[in-house]
Amino acid sequence: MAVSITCTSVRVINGKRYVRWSDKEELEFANLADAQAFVRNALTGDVLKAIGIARAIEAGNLNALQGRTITGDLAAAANIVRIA
Amino acid sequence: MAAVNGLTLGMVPLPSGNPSFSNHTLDANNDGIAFGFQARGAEPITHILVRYGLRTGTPPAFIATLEGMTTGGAPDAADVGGGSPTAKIFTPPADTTWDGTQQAIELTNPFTPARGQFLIATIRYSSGTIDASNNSTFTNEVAGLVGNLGFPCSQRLTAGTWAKRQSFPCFGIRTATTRYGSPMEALYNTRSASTVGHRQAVKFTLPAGSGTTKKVKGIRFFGSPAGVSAAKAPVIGLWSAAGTIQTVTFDSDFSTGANSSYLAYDIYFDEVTLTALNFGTAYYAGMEVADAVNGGVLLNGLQLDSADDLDAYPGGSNFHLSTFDGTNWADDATVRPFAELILDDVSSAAGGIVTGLIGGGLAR
Repeated sequence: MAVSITCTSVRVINGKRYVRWSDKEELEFANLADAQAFVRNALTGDVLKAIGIARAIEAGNLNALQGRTITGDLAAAANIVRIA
Repeated sequence: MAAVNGLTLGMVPLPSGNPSFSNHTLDANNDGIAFGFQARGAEPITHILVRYGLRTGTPPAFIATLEGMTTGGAPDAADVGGGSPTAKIFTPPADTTWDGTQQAIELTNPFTPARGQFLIATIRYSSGTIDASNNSTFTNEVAGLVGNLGFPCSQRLTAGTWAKRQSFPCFGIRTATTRYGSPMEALYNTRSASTVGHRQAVKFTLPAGSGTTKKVKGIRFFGSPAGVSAAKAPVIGLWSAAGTIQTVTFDSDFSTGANSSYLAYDIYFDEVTLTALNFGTAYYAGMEVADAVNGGVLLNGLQLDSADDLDAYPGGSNFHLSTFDGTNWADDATVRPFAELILDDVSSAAGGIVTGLIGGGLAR
């Protein structure tokens, strides 16, 4: 099963951050700090584990992630989530 | 004597993470939004309250309607007003004046529902150019504020297909005398000054005549009891205009994240004997700064378009934000804090006692 979504627009208007997606949802943040808090909360939730589980449960990968660390890093926009 | 342990009025809002407004983009003639709800009474509905997200270019005209539901729960495209249609065409301005504001769309004809009637308010495209360069977004839900709702709920129409949504809906219903639903304009996220003695609190008054005395043994709130760092000792308090009634000092290091906002706290007072409070008298429940360095406190809440919108939330106009600058209380009747009272007991005129939680939230 493939799930995808495309970011279609990022705007800053009157200090607010707007991020629009291909499903026509546009998330609105009062400021940069709120947007960062949103991301941080998501990453510290189940997102990182979900990424790991998605890789690990595939046949042939059952032990591929054991011992490896999944990192979400807001400071690295080009590589926000990485597995090392 | 009657005991109602765990009494909760209305659905309690439970911020989960930092809430953010989630807007739906209406950039095609088969896009729209809807809000399914029940009428609270047989009073004529005059307005739909909706938060406008953002305008792009020259927005087209939209049409707001009260409709019935299909058997599947989608809007049935039939105006419940029949020969006296509710449908109202409106055109957002081609400038920024509506951005991020709540708009009250006055229906062409008020509709008088039956108590408990299931209805659905819709906003759809009406006329004019609508495309990627000329459109509007509407805030039909708030992400991170009460998860997994079943009903009431918002819906989104995308390319002609309705989809129900589980996030907290952002809409309101207005009658001549009240509001319901969950209207809002912004999220209150303003921390107090880091000045010892400053407070943020919910000012509450339980109506005179609905009881004789009550005791508050604790407070549930969403917020942040410490500033940039933890290791603070804010005071959780209950006050009247005359002064302090009950307090307990909270070590912010006990918190999972004292300087993170939108965290839930259940804090109980530590007095051996709780004070009997009067009905019909205003009191304040909240936090007080106890440290002049990064000690500012924050009581999160909903910023409303007007004080009248408090009617949509538990306690109505008797529950709103008040701040204290060390000398005076200043009310803000357009902010409904995420704060509730945990009652020890309520004594009625006849001597009955109930216990429970006065809840804040979606409905009352």
